[in-house]
Amino acid sequence: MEKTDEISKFYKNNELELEKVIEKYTAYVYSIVRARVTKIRTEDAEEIISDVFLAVWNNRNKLDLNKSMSLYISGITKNLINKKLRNIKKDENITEYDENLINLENLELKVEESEKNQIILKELENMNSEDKDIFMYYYYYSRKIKEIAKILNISESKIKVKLSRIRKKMRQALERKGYKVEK
Amino acid sequence: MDKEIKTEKIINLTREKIACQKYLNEKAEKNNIKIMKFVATFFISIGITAGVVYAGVITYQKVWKLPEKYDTLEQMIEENRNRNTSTEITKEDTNNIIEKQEAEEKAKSVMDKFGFAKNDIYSVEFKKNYIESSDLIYLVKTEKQTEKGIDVWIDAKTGENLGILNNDLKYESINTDKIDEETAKAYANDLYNKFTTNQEFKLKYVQETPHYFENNSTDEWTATFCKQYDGIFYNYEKIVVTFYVKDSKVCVDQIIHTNLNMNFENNPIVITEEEAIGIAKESNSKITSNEIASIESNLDIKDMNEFIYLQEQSKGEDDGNTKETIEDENGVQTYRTYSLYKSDKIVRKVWRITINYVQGEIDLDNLNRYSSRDFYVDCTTGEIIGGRWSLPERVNE
Repeated sequence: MEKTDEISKFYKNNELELEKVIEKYTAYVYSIVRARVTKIRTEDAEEIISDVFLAVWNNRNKLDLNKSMSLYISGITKNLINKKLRNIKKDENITEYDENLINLENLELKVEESEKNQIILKELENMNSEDKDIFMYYYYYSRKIKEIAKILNISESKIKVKLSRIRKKMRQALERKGYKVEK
Repeated sequence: MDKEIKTEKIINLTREKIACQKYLNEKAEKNNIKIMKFVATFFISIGITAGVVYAGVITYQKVWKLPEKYDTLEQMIEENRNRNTSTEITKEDTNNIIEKQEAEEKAKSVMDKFGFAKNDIYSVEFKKNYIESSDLIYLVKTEKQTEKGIDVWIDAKTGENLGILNNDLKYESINTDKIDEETAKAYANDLYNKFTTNQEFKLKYVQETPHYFENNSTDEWTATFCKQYDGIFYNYEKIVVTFYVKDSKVCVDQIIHTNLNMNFENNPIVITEEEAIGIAKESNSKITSNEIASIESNLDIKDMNEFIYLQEQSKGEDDGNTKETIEDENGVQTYRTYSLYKSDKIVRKVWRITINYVQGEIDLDNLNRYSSRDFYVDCTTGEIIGGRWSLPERVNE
């Protein structure tokens, strides 16, 4: 891996271009995962890989722009694999992959492996495509109701009603699992 | 790279996880706002006794008040008679209006668009309180008799087209072409665009209606265009287009712009759907113990009325209508129902919560079964500003 993959190269207008990072490092992260866990299901590998990039996203304002992205990513990946392996019945053939790790003590790993996130994610997967689009445009792309209405060619009032119902479904899903959620 | 792991899938999965995270963080932020809400409400309740409701971090003045009521039907009739609907034109009425010539030219222009160019203008009259939507208009006619020829209404202040009517249709026998709804919508939009350049009105629905002429009836299409606010149709001002198709040609019967001139401020949506349902359910519990079958909710724009207030006060007995039995000279009894409440003409954006009951309530006088009530929960203040016995509404979806 190149030593010149400076983190600053993945920022544009002070915003992290996450998809660029994912495109470049998915194979790299996967290779680390395969090296540390010889037998792993595809779904579990996808979970770990996406969690790695989620962690990069959550810490995007704390990264040292002069450091190497691959080193950050390898450190995060190693930590996540260790956490995941507690839940995966696999042949634990763990080996040290990268000795030149960045000190991760000060880097908060905000990867939400909590059950809450998983519950919401499952609800999202079960949604019809229109509802899912609305959810993603609102929460991931941070679009306003008016913009979403234009993109999806639906009335604003319908978007508001649907969003309200989506939130209700999410809340009910969390409550079924014993989580109290404010309305 | 292993074929099993696709970058696109990782991108989508990561996006979804970020979105879920943001949703959960939003819940946490709302919890903080609720704490602020509680604190603010506490200070408001000890400091202010006026009608203030709290929603979010902004306070909103209460809007609902019980409408005034006439004491008797006679008083209501008398007051309406004395309302200023004089048709006598004053000097002041003639200030800041367009010239007669301009009105005639505008009328000719719109007549030409609808294929009435061959009709010569007979008269251009300045009229007061002739139609409801505007107090001062020019009535442009092609015939002397009232129900003959083409009438065009031009707003005397703005020069806007307010109506075009083909009165001669009453005496014609027409065999119309059969068209489907989609075609009718296309024709309706076309006619609308010929009538006005105002793009604020959107097609709400089209329907095929029988139209009764002197000698027979034929099928016409009626298209209703209304303004929208946040995607919600505003039914108190509309442009209604009536037309038919004959020999593949679209012919207009009439296009009329009506405006009830209500007071609407396009209030913001602050109350959530769930909150509105909760408010309606609480009110419902004061009115009836009827078992609820289902609840529906829709954003709507409605005028304020006394229905729910009276229903709460009377545990479902009083709906604001006065029912009278009247007897004619032959001793035959009939009923008449009327409301003595005055309208404040205030219109608000609301959550229209329809509560459907398992068992309807029967009005023995009219033998109507009322199986649903609508509650209008103000989208901004959360007050119930009105309601009614629920009726199915025609929508364009």
